[in-house]
Amino acid sequence: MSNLPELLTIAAQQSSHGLIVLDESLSVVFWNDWMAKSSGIAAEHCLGKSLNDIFADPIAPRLLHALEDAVTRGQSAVLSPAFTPSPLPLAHPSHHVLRMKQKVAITAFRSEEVHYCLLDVTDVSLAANREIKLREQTELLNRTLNKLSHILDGVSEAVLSTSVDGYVVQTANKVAESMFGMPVQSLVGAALGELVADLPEHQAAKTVVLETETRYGCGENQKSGFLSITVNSQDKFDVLTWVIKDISALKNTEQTLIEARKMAEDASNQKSRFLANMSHEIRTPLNGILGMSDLLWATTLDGEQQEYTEMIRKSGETLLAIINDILDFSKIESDKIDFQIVDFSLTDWLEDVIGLVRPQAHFKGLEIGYHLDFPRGARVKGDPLRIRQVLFNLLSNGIKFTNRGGVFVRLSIDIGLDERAWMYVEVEDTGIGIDKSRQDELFQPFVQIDGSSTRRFGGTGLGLAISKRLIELMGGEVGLNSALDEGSRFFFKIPVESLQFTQIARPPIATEGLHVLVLSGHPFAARHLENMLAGWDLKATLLSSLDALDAAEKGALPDRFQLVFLDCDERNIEVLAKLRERPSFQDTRFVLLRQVALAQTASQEGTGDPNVVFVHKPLKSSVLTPLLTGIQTPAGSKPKRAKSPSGSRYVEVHVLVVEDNTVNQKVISRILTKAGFHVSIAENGEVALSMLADQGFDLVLMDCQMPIMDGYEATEKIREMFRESSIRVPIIALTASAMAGDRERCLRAGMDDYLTKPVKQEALFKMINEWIDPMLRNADGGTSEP
Amino acid sequence: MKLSENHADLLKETLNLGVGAAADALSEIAGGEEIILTVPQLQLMSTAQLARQVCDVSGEEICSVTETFRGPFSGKAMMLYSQRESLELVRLMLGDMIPVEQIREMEGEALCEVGNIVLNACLASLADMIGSELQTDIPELKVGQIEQVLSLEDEEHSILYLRMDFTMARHNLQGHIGFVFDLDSVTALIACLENYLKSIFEI
Repeated sequence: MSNLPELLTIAAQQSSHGLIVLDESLSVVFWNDWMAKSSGIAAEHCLGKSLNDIFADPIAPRLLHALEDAVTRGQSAVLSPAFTPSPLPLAHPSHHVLRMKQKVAITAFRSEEVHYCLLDVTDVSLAANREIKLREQTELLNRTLNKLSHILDGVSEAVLSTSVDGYVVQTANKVAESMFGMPVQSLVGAALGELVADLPEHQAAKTVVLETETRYGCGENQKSGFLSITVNSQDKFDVLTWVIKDISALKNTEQTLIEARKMAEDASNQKSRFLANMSHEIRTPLNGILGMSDLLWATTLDGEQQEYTEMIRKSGETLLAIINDILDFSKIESDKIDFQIVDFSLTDWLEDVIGLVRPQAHFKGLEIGYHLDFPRGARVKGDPLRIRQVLFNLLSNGIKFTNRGGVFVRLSIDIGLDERAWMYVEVEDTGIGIDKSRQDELFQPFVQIDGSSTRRFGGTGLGLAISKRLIELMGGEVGLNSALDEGSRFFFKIPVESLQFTQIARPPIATEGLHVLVLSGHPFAARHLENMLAGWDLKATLLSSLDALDAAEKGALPDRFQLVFLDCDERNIEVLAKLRERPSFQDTRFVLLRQVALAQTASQEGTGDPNVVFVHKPLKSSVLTPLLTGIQTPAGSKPKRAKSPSGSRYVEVHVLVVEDNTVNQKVISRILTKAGFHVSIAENGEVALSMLADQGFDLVLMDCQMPIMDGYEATEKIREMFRESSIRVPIIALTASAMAGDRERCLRAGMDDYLTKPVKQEALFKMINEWIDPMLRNADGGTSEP
Repeated sequence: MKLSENHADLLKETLNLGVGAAADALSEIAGGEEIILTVPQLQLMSTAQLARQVCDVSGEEICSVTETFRGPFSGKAMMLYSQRESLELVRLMLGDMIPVEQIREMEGEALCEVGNIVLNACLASLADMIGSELQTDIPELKVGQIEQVLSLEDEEHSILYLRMDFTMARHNLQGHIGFVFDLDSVTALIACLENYLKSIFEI
């Protein structure tokens, strides 16, 4: 067995710690391998030397004191790296610029009465590395926390966190301090419920918001205000976050805005009411003007007087149109418009509208035509009157702004992707056109493209605005393609309910082998005729003039034409005569087209020739049918006129006019008396009731607004009075009030129909005819024709 | 054998010198911050009494630094702090140098060094007074309940107990120092004290 000191020396050399033994004079007597390796100084350079001599860098004083105590007093010691990180100037094992962190234990001992001390050096650098990392992370965390608290202090809301139970405040920001009038230290630990009188209940994993008018703060600093309180609770953290803001100022502003809006709405309603009342007030005297000018027209007048009377009437009608526009517009603006959805025939509807504007167009020498792109007889469901108003507007506009050429309407029904039916209408004109940059303003109210044109073209500038609003209210769209000097194309589409879309049975007419020639100098008119004939599967030969016919190659045209449409204006008769001389036109049927305005100057109407027929442009489909069947009914080509009641026919009819306004009394009674009615007047509902009780009337025209007893009440009383009787007197409302809902009110009161003042002679007769005709038929045993 | 009033005064004086030196040493390692250590109370008591005494001031959870000493009288020297106060002590000593979270890691070693300094100073002062040498071993750290920390086989040991007040940067912590003497060591201590007094009076 080796000797123990030698063994111990070897063991100490190989220890995983640094071991140094110093003698009483603090000279090195032992320096193990670990020390040699860590310091880079071999044992032989150290033995007998003091530590200060061995290391170039200074030794920590704390170590030197401890060593002194060890060799003089025998006291052992430990040096913690917390206070003395590197007692010996050793290099870090991996980072050479750093010092190795060491823990040094000093054990004092004695051998043979001599003091020694043992230094046990442990490398704690790695542990220290971990500490450095921890330190960095902690610093990062601190910086982040600082940043966060800076942000929280910067916001304008009070931000607090509290416990979930009892809402005990844990943190609070600066704003919370000023809001509650307490420093953060006092806020922390306080129950939030004591700081704010009204708190929302938190909900797990949710954000709850409460806006409440409440008291908040503490003691003398207590305030009251409108608070917005948000409490947020998360699953992960056992904490609630509160964001509190005093929104009193905001609420005040909101309240002011609400009041301002209400005032604006009231003003708007008042405006609408004012417009409605004004139009009512204006219509009543206008009724007098128009009625009286009608009567004046019927008296014996010389040329000049007639001219003046006509001017009065025209001015009155223009004024009426303007008032109607304004009233319509105010109704649309106040959403008081109702749509009457009924089913109607598209062809009839369009031809009606064309009929309305045709005189206007022809008077200016303009062509008017239309193209129907759907089976004849198609019926749809919609509001025909309102759609007509739109189309009428567009057509009137087109005619107004076109001086040469014409206006053409295209009407089709499209089935959209959603299987809804869309009524698509296009109005094309050859007028002055509208510059692109101005097109947007066009649909704004009170805008006409050229301010000065208001004088030139007249009108309120409301037509397009009204049309646009009407279409939008019906769920449709309106648009425009136009360029200056190139005419305009307005179009709109409206959703309708498609009812019947199949071809109706045509009269059994053989059109096979029928050759049709159209001679027309007007492209719109030619297009219109072509479309009409196509409805009968007839392919017409279209030529612009007689010269074009002559220029056509032989063989390119049929030998004979059975039907020829002539549209050569004043040359019609001349062309007719020339064609009839030719053998290939011997048995041909001629249809001469002409404009309404020219009707009076055409003296050849009564040619007596059954093969020559005059019709008005544009050709209506109902007129075309008899032409093709060969039954010549020139009557079919005449415009329908309202039946003018003859005196003898209505002599027995007794009408009661209930009306308070004396001018209106006079106008209506004159119109009716002239037509041969027997008229009685009652100035209010009460008088009317007593008159009805005394004698029988065939018809009552009832004004709605009257003093003492108004029309509605009077009607109810009349219906009550005659409840048991078999007689039911027709009562027709006659009122200047034209607001939506009036009609319903009248019907509800028990009236049968409704006429808007100012009363037009024709409309009045039409209405009376409608209600008296069946009565008379009953009386006369069914013969209504004289 | 009893500790007379004179003995007690002498001991108190001696140990106050010791803790004074310790305070200087601690100030040095604490980066120059002024530390004041005082011994307001000193008495001989049994282990059970010590446990009660410490418990009354610092509670059940205790940190202790213990080191063995040998010389004319031998035994164990102990410095005791409540766990909360020991952390506070280290934190005060380290100041802002190290984040609080990290102090926990090195708390043990730091506390060990602090205890070592204080105890060594006290023992050195005693040794100087008796003109002899007291050798010490390296200190040992114990943490836990008071009974486990004291871990004394015989409850009848005599213990020289000092309450030590530690004042630094307006913070005041209360710790305890105990010298547990081996059998007859108290007698030896008192004999030493007696000799010292005699030598003083003789001069």
